[in-house]
Amino acid sequence: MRRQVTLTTILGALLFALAASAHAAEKDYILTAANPNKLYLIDLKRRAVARAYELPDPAVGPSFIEPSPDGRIAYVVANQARDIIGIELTSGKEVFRAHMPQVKNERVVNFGLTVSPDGAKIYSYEIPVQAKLDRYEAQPNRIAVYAANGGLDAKAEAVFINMPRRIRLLLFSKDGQHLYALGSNFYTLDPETGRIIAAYPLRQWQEPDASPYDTLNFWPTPESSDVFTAVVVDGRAEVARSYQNTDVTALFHLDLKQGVFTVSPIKGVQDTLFAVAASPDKRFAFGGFRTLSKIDLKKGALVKRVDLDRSYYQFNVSRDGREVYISGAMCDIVIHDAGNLEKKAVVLLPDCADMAGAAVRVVRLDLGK
Amino acid sequence: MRLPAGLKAVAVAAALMALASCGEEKETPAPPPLTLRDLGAEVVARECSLCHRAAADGSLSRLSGIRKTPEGWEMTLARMESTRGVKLSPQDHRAAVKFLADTQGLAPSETAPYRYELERRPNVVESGRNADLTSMCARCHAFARVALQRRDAEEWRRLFHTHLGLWPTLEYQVLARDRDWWEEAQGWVATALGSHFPYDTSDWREWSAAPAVDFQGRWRFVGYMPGEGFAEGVMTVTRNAVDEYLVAAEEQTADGAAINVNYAAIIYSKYEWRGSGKRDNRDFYEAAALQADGVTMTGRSYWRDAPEMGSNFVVVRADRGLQRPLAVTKEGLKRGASTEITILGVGMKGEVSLGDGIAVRVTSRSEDKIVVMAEVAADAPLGRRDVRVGDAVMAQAVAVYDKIDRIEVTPGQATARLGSDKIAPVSAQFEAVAYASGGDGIAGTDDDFRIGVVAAAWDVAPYDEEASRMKDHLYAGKITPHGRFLPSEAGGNPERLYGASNAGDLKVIATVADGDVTLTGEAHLIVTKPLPPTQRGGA
Repeated sequence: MRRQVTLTTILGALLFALAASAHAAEKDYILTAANPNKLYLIDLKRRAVARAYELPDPAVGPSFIEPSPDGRIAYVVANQARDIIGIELTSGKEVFRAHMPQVKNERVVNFGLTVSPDGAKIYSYEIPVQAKLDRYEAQPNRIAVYAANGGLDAKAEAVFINMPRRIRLLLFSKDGQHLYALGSNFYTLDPETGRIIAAYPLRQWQEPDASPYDTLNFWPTPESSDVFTAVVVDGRAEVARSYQNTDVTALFHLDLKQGVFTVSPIKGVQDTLFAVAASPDKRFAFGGFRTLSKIDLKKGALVKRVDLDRSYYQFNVSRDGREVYISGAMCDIVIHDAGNLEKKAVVLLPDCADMAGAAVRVVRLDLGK
Repeated sequence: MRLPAGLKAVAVAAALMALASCGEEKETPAPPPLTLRDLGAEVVARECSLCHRAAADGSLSRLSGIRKTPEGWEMTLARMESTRGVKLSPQDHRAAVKFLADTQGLAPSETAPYRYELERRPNVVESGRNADLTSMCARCHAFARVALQRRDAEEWRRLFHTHLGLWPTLEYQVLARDRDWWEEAQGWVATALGSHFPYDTSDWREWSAAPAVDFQGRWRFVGYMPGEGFAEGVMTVTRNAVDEYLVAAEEQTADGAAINVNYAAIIYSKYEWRGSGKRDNRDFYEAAALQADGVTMTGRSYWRDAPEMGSNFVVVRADRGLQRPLAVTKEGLKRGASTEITILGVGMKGEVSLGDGIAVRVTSRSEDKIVVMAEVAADAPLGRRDVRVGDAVMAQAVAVYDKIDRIEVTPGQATARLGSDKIAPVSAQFEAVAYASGGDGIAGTDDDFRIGVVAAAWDVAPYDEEASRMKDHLYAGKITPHGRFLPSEAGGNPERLYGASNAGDLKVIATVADGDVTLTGEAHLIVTKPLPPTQRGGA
């Protein structure tokens, strides 16, 4: 028995070595950031930080991160969400920066960022306020479109004004035909014109004896499944109206390949789900906060849950569906087995850098190229 | 239209000074020193008008359309300094607050319902307000902070623009994202606030015309510190400058020590008394309001580094021949028992009477303080009753009871905050208040009466199942024998499940013995994360 295991391990290692040489050095990494100005790529096979970057001045408090579709550029929102900074991960160079104000005395924060599937355009959901001499004047929220090759002082090449307020995430359909905006409601937009093609209710969801859906999602994690999955919470007349005691939580799915949007209730989830991610085969979702829950999406039911060592913000699934990456706040990224949910490994960021609310994404790229 | 009178005066003075400086140099008598308020008018005219441009009538854009309390103006100036680059010397800053609170303040009737905010009273649960307005405003700060300002609807609208300018993501919060927050703020909310709290009111116009009061003289004070008891004394107030006073207080503390406290006080808007100084080398602050009678002030004094700990006080002129009992140190008098009580007051002369069925034996007395033994007959009528000293009456000041029927723990809903090395903890003080069910013997009916604060043994327990699972009662903090909950340290606790912080959801339980009977009462205490003192309210 012992010999067999050893043999299998050796065979596996050989096969892996062969595969690695055949496909050069394209690997999966976790891309994340930490205070005050760090950006990291974590090699998921080696369970170690592969590359650490410092965002060039001025840049503090990295928060949202959107990787380019080829994984080579990280677009990082920083400086209290007032700047979008593009870092080329192979060279570490800053290749893009947009400071969003369009007129003097405008103060703008970004609250949603996505990149078109061809990597050419960056879409930024912006909240502009003009600081005049004796007053502030809130402006209509907008989506600004920047050319990815706009350089270090990128200016918007298109602006869609009068966008719905309270949008938190922008996402693209895989075919680039639709831009999705998710906030307290959900919208499909024409990325060329900003026209709202469809508006789906979440807040106005009507169900007997239930409150409208509440959704506040900070992190998209569709990398492994091409499905954006998020938690929506509602209060039912028969249960307490709180995250802690909500008996019925629903999951929102947006299939970025097929353009299909669904909301499905999940039974038996007693724990807070701060964020969730779907497995590549779309059979399961993984999420939690102080616990890791595995949810069967077909049955709409909890499969298993385990306690975590602390509270975490984000949950990602590996591209092969075998691992769950749990992260956010503080400096440890925990890797659990997606099958039995057992803890497999921990990766610590150098000097215990604080991820705080920075996004955690899974990217695939060849760092040697 | 709304040119503050002070501004006009300063403009004239400045013009005169300009003329004077053109003349030949010669010895002139030194001009009288500027009052703080005049200096404030100058500061506002010089500094604020750089951005708040003056209209033809001299009014300053935005600024002249707002009325606030001293604390409200303080917050405005602090914000101008921290976010808009205004630089004022401490004296100019103080003067600007004085001028603005005097000329664009609130009348006593306008602050009366919201004194708790000015006095930083802890654990006040605001009520009686439309739920939507509460969600719109009071999910982040006390509604009192809104209600202690006066603006017309358009100016309230601009305030919401300021909100988004300073906190662009506030629309995303719970109780904001469940509605069209911005659209509602700009719409009905601004309209409603402009109608509830408009700039121009007859109350303020009349108050502005009323004469100023001289606070100099001798005052008698009695303060009550929950959990600790009564402090009392006399204070002599002398004028230092216009509306600025020096206070020399001789105080008998709750634990019986005699101390002298010297501090400064300033009067805003002719009635807002604000004192500050040190006691035992610790900074304290006090906020009080002169009452309509012109001889009484009520307010609260608290530690600057722990505003939740303080004394609720009443101050009465002791140099006007007033005769008044102000407090009784023990409210509940048991039938068939003898109880020693102390009546604290001013100018108290004449016979002490506690009404039918109570024999009063005076053991010591002065005009300020009378100690009596109250011998309550076994058949004395039950219920609240007056305390009389000569012709002076303190209404419903004591209660005769035969047994305690229930215990109420106050405050019923409280918050304490964990402390860190940077941020002081916020404790919570509880008291057990005994009640009798009255003639019908049924608790919660109209004939119930309060017996008063009683001694209790204190404990905490998990509030619910989740708190029990997390063993919150073992981590969140400790309660002292005097009912003060002292929270633990902030930060993750590796001993706890999930490495959770010491936050907790607790029941506070008071156990009271009444003869052979043991009664308990409960309150709900949430122990939560630290918050810098600057964010803990203040109007």
